[in-house]
Amino acid sequence: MIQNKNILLGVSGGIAAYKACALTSKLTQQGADVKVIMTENAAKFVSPLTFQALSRNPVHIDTFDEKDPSKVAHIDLADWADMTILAPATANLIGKLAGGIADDMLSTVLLATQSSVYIAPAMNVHMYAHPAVMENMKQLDSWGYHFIEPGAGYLACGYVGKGRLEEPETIIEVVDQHQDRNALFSGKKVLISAGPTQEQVDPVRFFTNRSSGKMGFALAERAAELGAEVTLVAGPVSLEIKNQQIKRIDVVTAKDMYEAMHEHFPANDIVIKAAAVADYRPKQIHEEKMKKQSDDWHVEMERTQDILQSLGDIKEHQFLAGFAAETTDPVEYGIAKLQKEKPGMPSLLINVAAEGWICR
Amino acid sequence: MIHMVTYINKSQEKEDITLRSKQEIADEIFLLISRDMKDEAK
Repeated sequence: MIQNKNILLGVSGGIAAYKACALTSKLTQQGADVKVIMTENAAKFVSPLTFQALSRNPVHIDTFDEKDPSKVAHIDLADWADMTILAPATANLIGKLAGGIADDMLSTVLLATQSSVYIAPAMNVHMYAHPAVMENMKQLDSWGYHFIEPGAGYLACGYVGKGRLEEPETIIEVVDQHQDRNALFSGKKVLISAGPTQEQVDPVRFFTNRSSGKMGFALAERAAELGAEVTLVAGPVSLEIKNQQIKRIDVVTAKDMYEAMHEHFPANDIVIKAAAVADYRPKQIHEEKMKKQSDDWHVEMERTQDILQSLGDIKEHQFLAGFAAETTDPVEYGIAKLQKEKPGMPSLLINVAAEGWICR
Repeated sequence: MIHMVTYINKSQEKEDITLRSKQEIADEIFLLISRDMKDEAK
């Protein structure tokens, strides 16, 4: 995926700038066209001539160094890039990007580019753990920037801990995998279900479960980030979708969810059933509130339709994945379920929270 | 809160991943799905 790509490499001022030389060399050897933008501080660590020789392209530092009058350099570079890699990304560069500051060539291009941006931070362990840096990274993550986490080990500042720029081979591997996934999911139609269902027994009472819907919503957001066209069928949850491109359909009962999933299933390529749908519902729904009485109240329950099973039965081209939340023997149960109940299902995902409950 | 995702595919390969957030789990799940989709396409 790196071959024949136009890659902007942003190098900011940290000792790890020397690793960006190896990164430039490896990217170029893999067939990428690499253009390097350095901050002025980066040029104090490594000579621009090194990057020029390794990339066989001019190195950009000054925003106002306009060599071609027919082009605006920072916009031209921003538009040229298929992807942008920031390595090393200092706390200062991350802060500027999170704050929308454009005061040099690199930060200006970063605001202008529409390409995927991969950020490989490198800094002192305490700087990396600082709340301001953490908040800035969270902010950028929520805007769709991709982080390549620093490794832990001996740092140039003498500390041992997290903050070491990831090795060039690993950076390329992460970028490659991400681009690969983007290509795979881009333009695909993805249907995801999320959250619990509510099964009414009278006008004020219902049966439900502890699903928060967070897993399904995270899957929907991620699928949209990967370029997929996403439809999210959500049970009653108090979550908002951040990506406005996601089509959200709100449902309440297992029956509603069954109908919504079946309605949209044929038009989708990938279907992930992350909802915790009720297995049983009250056989009788009382029109009036049931009065409290001195003796017990027995509610007769009936099976709901198994959505995953029914989708597996009619599956054609779709890739179908499901969740099964088990508190005991999840792997054994999952294998048995895969073999016996879901012949059409290519994969099964099981999640078990470490503290014993799912989706809290 | 740390969550564990156990993934099982058609060939019953098992994989345990301990991750920190729903977002990271989602990312990992799409990586696993892409792997399966490629296997299916072969």
